[in-house]
Amino acid sequence: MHAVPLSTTLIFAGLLGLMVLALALEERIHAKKSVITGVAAIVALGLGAAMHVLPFGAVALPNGHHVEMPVYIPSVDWGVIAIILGSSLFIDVVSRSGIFSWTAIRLTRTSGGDPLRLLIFYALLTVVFSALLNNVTAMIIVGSLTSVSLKKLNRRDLLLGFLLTEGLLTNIGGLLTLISSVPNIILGNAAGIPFVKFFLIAGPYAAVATVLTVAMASWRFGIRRIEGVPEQRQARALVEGFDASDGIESKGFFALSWGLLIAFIVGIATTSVIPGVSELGMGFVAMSFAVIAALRYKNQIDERFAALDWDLLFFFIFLFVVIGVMEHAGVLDLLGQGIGALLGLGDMAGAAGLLVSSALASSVTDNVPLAAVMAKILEGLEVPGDSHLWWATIFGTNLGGNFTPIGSASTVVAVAIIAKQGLDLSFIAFVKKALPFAIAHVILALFYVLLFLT
Amino acid sequence: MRLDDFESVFRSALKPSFVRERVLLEQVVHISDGGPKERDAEAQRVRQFLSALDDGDHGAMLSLGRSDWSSAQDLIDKIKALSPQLIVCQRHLGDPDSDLAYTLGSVVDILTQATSVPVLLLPTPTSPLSTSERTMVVTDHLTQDAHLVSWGVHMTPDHGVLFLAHIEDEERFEHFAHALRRVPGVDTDSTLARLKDKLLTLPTDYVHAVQKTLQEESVQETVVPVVHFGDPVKLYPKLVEDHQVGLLICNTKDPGQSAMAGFAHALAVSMRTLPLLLV
Repeated sequence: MHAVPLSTTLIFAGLLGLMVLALALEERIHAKKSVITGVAAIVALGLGAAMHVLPFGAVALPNGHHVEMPVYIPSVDWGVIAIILGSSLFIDVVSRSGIFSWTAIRLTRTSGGDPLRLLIFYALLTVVFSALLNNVTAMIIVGSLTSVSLKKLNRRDLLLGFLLTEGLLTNIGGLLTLISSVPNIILGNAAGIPFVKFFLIAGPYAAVATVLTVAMASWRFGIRRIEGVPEQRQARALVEGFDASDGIESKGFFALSWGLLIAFIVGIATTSVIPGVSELGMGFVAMSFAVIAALRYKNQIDERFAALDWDLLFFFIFLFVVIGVMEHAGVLDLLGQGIGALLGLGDMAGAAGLLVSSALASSVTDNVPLAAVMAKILEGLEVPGDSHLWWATIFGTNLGGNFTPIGSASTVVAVAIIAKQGLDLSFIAFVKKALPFAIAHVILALFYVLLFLT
Repeated sequence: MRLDDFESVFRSALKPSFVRERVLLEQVVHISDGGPKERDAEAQRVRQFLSALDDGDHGAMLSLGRSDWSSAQDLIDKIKALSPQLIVCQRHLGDPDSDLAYTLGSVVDILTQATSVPVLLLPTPTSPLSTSERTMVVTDHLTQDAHLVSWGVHMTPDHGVLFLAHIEDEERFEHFAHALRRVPGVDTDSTLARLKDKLLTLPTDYVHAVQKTLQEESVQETVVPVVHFGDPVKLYPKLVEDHQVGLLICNTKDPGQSAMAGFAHALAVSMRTLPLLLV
């Protein structure tokens, strides 16, 4: 890569900063993520071509051949896009079988309508769904069930506490597996962390953080057990009005979806150890399962495609293009120098600084660009894949979302559900309520990374 | 799937429940147009009819003859003073012509609206007041009518059949469908089909909840759902005939008093040979 003048680098850094700012103010400027990053990508490419920053020319293939392709194509991490696209389509199709709503309703009935048991069950549901699906879908499923069930139980007074806790827990569940959140996919892939190893390292933290969050929520929001026997009986009768089988249109498809979901998890978990598949990657596995599941809707597949979150997919594609240009413009090197200085503080202090700064940065803007930039920087600094610095970044980018309502897509959804239910929660009120949780999560992560992973 | 999709899934999964209200007939007031002899004869027939329906589970019955009341207002005042749980009377009460079409008569019209007490309307004098084990409750909003259904349960004898009928007005549905077909971005056929299905599922689910509650309370009645799309005024008489119903129960005392301006009134005036309970 040829040397880029500092002035040019700063211009591109300014553009990156503007994009990050626009993403942070997404709601205020009434623009979708994909449009913001799309505009940034077009401007960056145009500027990059005009300022001779971009390396035009043929791209070398693994077989030694060269192929002509637009400069922005190799910038996109198509492996990540394939994972997101495949798993989104797969989850959309199997969710139509009713397996997730069935599970959620079964747990609601099992709780007997007791608020504390309901909180524990919904917390577990949020964490598991966030791990298996994605944070946003998990929040939508559990949040909507919470609204319906607490209304039925005449406990709307607890709704805000429940929804807020679930929003925070999506980011804990999002840490659980390599495919639970986009930062995990980007950073885990860049570090080359296998699925099972990721789960074994993140699992203990997620378990402790979940217990801590539920205990704090019970205390802070006054979510207690029902004491009297008549009241317990009445609550049980109310939740027994839920019919778990209502959303199941076909028992065959319902059973098949359970089988496919289990096979999907096993397939993703074993990708790195199956010869051939390991080379094709998790994107291949996700896409394969998506196509198999889509056979159910082979005549109406256009409806399933339409249900995909295209804003999210184009957001990632444009984002990768922007980061590719930034790499060529020397912006990532510049940021890398700052990160390098942070890491120079030493093993412990460097990792702690990385975790806290990642958390603070992701609290005010989307954690995906942060993860993508950090992945490139850590790769550039040649940080080994088994280094605790990757984990400090993974924990930081995921947990930062709990500080503010705009810190992660799932907290944005939680706030949207809260508003839809007619509950008043301003930006500051969210921060006030969420701050003790977010600080506890980060402190716990610091202990975990520094004591067990360093 | 979006937030709204999942909310719909969970709302749909939340099935209605039925809590039976206790119907206590401690005081029944029978109002007659006749003199003492006709009054007593009619009262005897009413007693037999009620006893067959509620297995004798009613208290004293006070009979008022034509000489006991002077006007509709006088009658209302007397009813307020007596505080009965049921009024029994002929249609066209107080009118010289006892077989007028298109009306229940001015006194009955006032009685149904000015008091909150259910009115059991006897068939025209030429029609027999025969007892039957088959009762039908009719409404266009069954899922909100625990009160009406409770009356239906009370007025059906042990081992009798209670039909819970809900006719979804097709004309009203078409009115909304007409507007929906003009909204771009909506898959009209699929949306209307799903909406139609849901409109029939909701009352059917409610009938199942009624069946479950009655089973738990060991009530020996067979509850049958009768849920259709169509024109209520045309369809209900046909259902009554098909199911050989002996007593028809409908709602006439909703807060907006819309029932007596709608199909309930049309049914009440047209089904003149059948006893009607206007709740």
